[in-house]
Amino acid sequence: MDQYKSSYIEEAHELIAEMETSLLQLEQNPDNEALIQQVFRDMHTLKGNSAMFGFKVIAEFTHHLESIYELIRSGQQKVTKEVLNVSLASLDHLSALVNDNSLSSAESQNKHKQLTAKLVALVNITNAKEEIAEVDNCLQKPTGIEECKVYEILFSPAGNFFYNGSNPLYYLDELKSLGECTIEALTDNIPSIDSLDETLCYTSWKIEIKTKVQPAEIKKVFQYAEHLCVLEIAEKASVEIAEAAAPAVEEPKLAAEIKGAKPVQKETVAAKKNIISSVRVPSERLDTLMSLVSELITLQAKLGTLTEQLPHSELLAVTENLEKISTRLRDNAFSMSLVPVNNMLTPFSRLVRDLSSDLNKEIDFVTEGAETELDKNIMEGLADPVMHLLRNSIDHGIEDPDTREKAGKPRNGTILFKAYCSGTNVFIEIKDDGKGMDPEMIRAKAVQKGIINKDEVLSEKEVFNLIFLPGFSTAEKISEISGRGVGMDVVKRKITDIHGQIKISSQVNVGTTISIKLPLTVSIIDGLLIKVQDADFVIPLSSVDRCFELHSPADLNHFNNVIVLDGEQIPFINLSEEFNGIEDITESQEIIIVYHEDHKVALVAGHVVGKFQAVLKPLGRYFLQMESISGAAILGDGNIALVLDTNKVIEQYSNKKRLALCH
Amino acid sequence: MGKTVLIVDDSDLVRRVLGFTLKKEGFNTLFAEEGKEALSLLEGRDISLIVSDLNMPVMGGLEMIKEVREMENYRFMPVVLFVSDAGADLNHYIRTSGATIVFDKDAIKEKLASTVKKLIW
Amino acid sequence: MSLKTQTWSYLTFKLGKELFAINVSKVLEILEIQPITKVPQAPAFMRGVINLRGNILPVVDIRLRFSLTAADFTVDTCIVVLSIQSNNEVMLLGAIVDSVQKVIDIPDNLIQPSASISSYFKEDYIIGIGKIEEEFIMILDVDKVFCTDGLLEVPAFSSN
Repeated sequence: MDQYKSSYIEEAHELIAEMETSLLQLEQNPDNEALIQQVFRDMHTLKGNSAMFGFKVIAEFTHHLESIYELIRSGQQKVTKEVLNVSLASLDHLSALVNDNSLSSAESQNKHKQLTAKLVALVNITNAKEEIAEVDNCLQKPTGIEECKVYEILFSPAGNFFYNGSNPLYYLDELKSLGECTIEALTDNIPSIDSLDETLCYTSWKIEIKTKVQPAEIKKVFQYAEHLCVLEIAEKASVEIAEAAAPAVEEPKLAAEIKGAKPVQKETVAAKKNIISSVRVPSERLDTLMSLVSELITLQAKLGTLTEQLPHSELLAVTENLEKISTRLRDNAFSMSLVPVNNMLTPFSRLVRDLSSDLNKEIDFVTEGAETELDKNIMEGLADPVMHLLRNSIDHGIEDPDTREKAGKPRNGTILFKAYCSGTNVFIEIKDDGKGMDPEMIRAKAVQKGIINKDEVLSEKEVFNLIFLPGFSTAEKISEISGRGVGMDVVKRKITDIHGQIKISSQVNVGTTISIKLPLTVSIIDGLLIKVQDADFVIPLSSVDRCFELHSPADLNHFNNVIVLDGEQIPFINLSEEFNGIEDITESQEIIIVYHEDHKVALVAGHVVGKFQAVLKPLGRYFLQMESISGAAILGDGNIALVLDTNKVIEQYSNKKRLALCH
Repeated sequence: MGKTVLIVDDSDLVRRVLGFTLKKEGFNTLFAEEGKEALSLLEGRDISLIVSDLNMPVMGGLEMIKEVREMENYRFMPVVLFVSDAGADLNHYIRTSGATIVFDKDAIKEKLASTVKKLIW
Repeated sequence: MSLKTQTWSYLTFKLGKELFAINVSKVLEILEIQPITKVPQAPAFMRGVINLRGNILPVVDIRLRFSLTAADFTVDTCIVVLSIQSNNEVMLLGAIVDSVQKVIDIPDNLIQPSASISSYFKEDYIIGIGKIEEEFIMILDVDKVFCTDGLLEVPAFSSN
């Protein structure tokens, strides 16, 4: 039974976390039925699981909690702040119970009694109300029997179907939105590879669709292609089914049969749950999978290069297929270990809520970019530091409502948690509109602690960075909340451990912004492969505007380092000069125009090879300070192409120029 | 890592609205005021789809599509054409323009995003 | 017979005329010298990177690290793949050596601390000096030689 126990515990924690998220959302939308449903379902599941595993205490406790939500569900009780407070406290207690269900300490026993009493009281109050409305199972939906018909469609695109940019798969997609489809591709007309003209369409499709719509609607789907295909629609059979939620859509299968008609269901049909079925996988297995997939990609790229040198039509076809499948496998595998930042936000939300009310401050926690994805391992390393930073903001940053009002600020403080992707990094920003930090004060403190000399000259940025030094704390009192600056140096260490970087900027009375820059440990780079003399480099496609051939080197104005393209004056950087110290004087070079902040810069390289997709590998600790190179990619022939961070290359170049001008 | 859509229309407002709609779906956008400018933007870039108005000064939608279909790299490029003449015969344009999809300008705001996504996933 | 004398195996190699040794537990493999992809704007002793079965291996030139002049590559030049421990992290690193000699066993009692023999190289880097058959062999502490703390600062992101 023990092997199941750990599954139970894992699932219990997940359920509790889900409920916490739902409750916090419910706070903002107290009447949202879907949320209430979700909470109730989760409680019910937890109760059932606990009972099954013999955890009576947990099961009973959950039962009380469930009763309240039963009443809420039936409309007899409203979601009030009191209910929420008790519920959240109960969830915390449940979490502790799941870990140790014996209530070993007196403290937890007391808590248990208290909470149980509160829960029972809430339930009783409601039940004592006069009208006891019939518990209406609001899951009930009136059944309707709608008529569905099955049609057989023959879709035969003409040979020149592609000539107006059309794609038959687009039409098949549109069909799927009308009903359940079974699609069979008819490939008899496809000639052998030797006589195949790749601009012509040889495939036809036979589709069986189960739909309520009229044939005219089906025909309408093909309205843009009617003149380019042969379309036949015939009715097959009549099927009656009870109304359910949106029709399920099947992936195209080759020659599948549609099953027999479903029996009419008269009983209440539960609203179709949004079940995203999932499988638990230990993360080591994911890591292994990813590294195997990376090796496969490299190997397959090698195969591609070899095949180019030994052209053989069947080999080419197989290699191409292999490439397609490898790409899909790679995308699939990598997406498995990426998790949206959203998943870690609930504890933050909770912290802001609880802590701000403890301190009598009013703070809104706003998030932006919650769907940004991060590698799971990195996210785990981020939780602690972010919690600490939030505590700091709440405790030392945001002022209390009266002070804020006097300063002309809104009574509610805002903490913004923003996540976004840029290049091969993910950025997390925590921004508050509190009282900010005074560089003078920090400086003074540092001098006092002997960290810097009185007359040392530091830029504002450098002053703020002093905060990350161990033993530094400007809080007058060591508050219990954020503790003794066991703060920023530890935060910085934890961020460095996940290979990230942290930066602070602040303005007195305006607020403080903390920026964390994180790598995507494994990322797929869509880039442009270029050659600078003999070295290979990759420029991320997201930075590229366009490419040009440089026909005459005279176009490069060396005096003020601009080149004129399309009437625009664009500054240029000669990469071979920049990297190797020698100017490449070969006749034809190529120019890649990249975006840099809000303007364009031209990079002059020897040759643009083409678009390239590869696994980005980090260069490792030894090259951590090389900011202009974000990593390396392994080419099909085994050579290494360095991936450029064009922004950094341009910045370094500008800095060098600036310094040169100063002398 | 997104795909790029070229939006061609002589109205600044329309370009902005369509651009915003597509940007929200994760596409990169490029703009041109009419056909000739659009053609010049195709050089040296990797554009996945063109959305264009029919009536434009200098070079209109039909002429532009004809030119595009002659270009080696863009022969099979999906083109979404929209027509703002009330009562225009959409069928006629569907058959003769060489465009992949033809919309009424009214429908374009709601249908554009989903259509583009399906054409260039 | 001292019960405490332990004997370890060491890989010996030459830099110029000097003989050095590294405990074999730190050595993963030995590669023939191969083309190294240069990383622009890196310090001179960081020669670049190579592709080791799909992974990126940084390659350093020990001679340059010890401020000796760089040598040309010969047929004997090798890249020794080392496992370096720094700050609780294990990293792989390739080191270019002029030539690899044999693996020998050196009992601890034949190793003298480096301070007793004046040395041209930074003391920290040497665990001790062994004397085998009249030859002096300098035993390197590679974890210290290639420790990232000393080598490179990790700055907060620069120039903004």
